[in-house]
Amino acid sequence: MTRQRINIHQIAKLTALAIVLNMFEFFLPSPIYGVKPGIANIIILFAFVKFNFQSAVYISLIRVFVSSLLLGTFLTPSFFLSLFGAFISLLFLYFCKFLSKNFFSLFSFSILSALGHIIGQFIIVRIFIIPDNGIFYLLPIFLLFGFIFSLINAYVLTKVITSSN
Amino acid sequence: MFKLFKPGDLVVFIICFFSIILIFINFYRVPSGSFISIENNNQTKEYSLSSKSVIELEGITIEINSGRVRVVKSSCKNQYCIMQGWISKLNQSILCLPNLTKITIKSNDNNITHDSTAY
Repeated sequence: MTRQRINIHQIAKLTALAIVLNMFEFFLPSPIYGVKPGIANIIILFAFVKFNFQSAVYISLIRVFVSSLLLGTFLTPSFFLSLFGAFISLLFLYFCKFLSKNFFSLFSFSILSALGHIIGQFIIVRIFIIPDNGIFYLLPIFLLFGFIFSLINAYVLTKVITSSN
Repeated sequence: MFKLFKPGDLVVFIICFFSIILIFINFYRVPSGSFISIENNNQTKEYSLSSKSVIELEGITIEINSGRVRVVKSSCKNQYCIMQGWISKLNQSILCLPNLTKITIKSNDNNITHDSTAY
């Protein structure tokens, strides 16, 4: 696996793809409100693995802003949830940078960033939106779904990368 | 080339999976109570759950055995209270409306109660 230099065109292309996946995910029906597969994370992980951490940060943050503008949720609580989730997710990805590539693959990165996203959202919900400890009863449900979907995402991305090589 | 699954992934997988399971067990564990209160014809009586006894009231017989409670015999028509079987967890209850009886498991510890935001 070789890391390539990334230019602004590639970031723009990948961001557009991430926004499309985010919009698609928005229209997917969900049995539990708030449980989403997080397929836009596939693109961020792709950028992280193929290029570098910096490009993943760009794509993630631009995606959050642009998709909130398109969906009309800019500066609403759901926008801040999404933004802070993305921040913590990127923080977890930053620590993934120091993991050895011989022992850890996409599956680890995907699991850690998905769990980071959920933890970040719960922190902001607990502090600002629902200041009650009862909210943590939902935490294991969301963590379990995030865990399952992150495994599926990692599998899809591994297939994409192996077929593109 | 790109290998599908590397050994470090297994470690991350197992750690995350078991921590999620632990959080699940921690949040959804229902504590057991320490005594029961029986309301029968507007009178409330309390019994310890640790004792082993059979309580006979008006038209209804209640058995307490090793932390569990059940209705053994009842004079009512539908016998729903008997069909419910044993109860042992905090805040569970058995009702028998024809006999005006309510059996509830309670705890001395006031901290462990259900709140409205938990579901």
